[in-house]
Amino acid sequence: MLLAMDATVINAKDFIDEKKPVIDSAAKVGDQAASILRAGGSVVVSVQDVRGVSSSFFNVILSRVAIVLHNDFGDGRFEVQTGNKTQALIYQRSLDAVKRHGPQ
Amino acid sequence: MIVKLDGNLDDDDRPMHAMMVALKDIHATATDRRWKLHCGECQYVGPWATAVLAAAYIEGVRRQQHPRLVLPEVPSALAAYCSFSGLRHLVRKEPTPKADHPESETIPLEQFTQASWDRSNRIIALLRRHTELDSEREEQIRSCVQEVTQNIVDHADSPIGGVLSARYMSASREVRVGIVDRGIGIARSLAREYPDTHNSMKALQRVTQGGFTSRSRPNNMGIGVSNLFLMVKSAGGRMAIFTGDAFAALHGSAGSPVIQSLGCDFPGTGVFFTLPTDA
Repeated sequence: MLLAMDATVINAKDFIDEKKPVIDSAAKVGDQAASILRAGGSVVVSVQDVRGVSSSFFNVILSRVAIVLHNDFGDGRFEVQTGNKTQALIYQRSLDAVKRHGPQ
Repeated sequence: MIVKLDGNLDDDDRPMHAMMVALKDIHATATDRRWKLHCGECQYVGPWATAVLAAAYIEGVRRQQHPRLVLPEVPSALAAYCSFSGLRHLVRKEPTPKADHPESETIPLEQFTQASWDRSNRIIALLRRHTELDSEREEQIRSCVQEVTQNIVDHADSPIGGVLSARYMSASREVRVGIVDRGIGIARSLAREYPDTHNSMKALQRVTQGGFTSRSRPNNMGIGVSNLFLMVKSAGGRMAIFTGDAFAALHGSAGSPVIQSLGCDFPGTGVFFTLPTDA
């Protein structure tokens, strides 16, 4: 964990409606994160209580964040907390892809 | 037109390949032409075949082909599977036993048009009734289902959406999942962005490698299928994708997917995988 003590934690589970499309909740999480980053804050998105993440879920969040960070994820203001190896794998591959392709 | 299937419609790439070839005339059938598929003498029908049969039937109804699908009545375990899987309800409108029936090891067929969070809930509930499922394995199963369903919604242009079938195999302690669409296939989808994707074999090479996407939606980065292969491979499972005139198959944790010509055309994409349920 590399973020400042005053980072805002966004629990992705709070944005999930089980009956709705995955990318809808991802957009809400991404917009919330982007808003905080745009205001100069730091963000931790926690997916530890989420079950069944996909590349699209992370792609949407990261694309919105990438716009605010100008695709510089190394500035230390944004982090994702995963809860297991599968989530970590999918997140890392999405992060690599968004960095490669840029925000969409 | 009458087509007959027999033998084992097993959940593996070789029997699926044989099944796809046997179904080629039905898959190629023009609108308004009637067909009947006789599976009465099959000795095994698994969730992979179930998803293909169900998609063919649903698409046949949509195209006014008046499809008829004859299901096995013996042995009794197979007849029971046809009920629990929802196949009998699909073709004869017979009621499907309750999903939590103690003898059921399968979820009823699901037809879907959106990739929602709850798509894998019934599979997980089924597995929890039969086995101890640790959180890592649960996450793998859910994520695999999500990757496939999201791909169908984003890329397939399937008029029937997707069809999902899943079964827990107590003897081998694994879950087997089949998800089929009747859309445009991976090659045509990828060709929107990469016009040199001339055929399905090249399309499968690209999606299993990762990084190629039709960019149908902003959330597409072209890594869903390669994620799927990685998860199945790391768990020691098996996987096959059939699309257009090619298929890719992965067995266990060794090696890369093998891509081959199908020898006929499958009008859509079928993604099939098995995952061990034990950690």
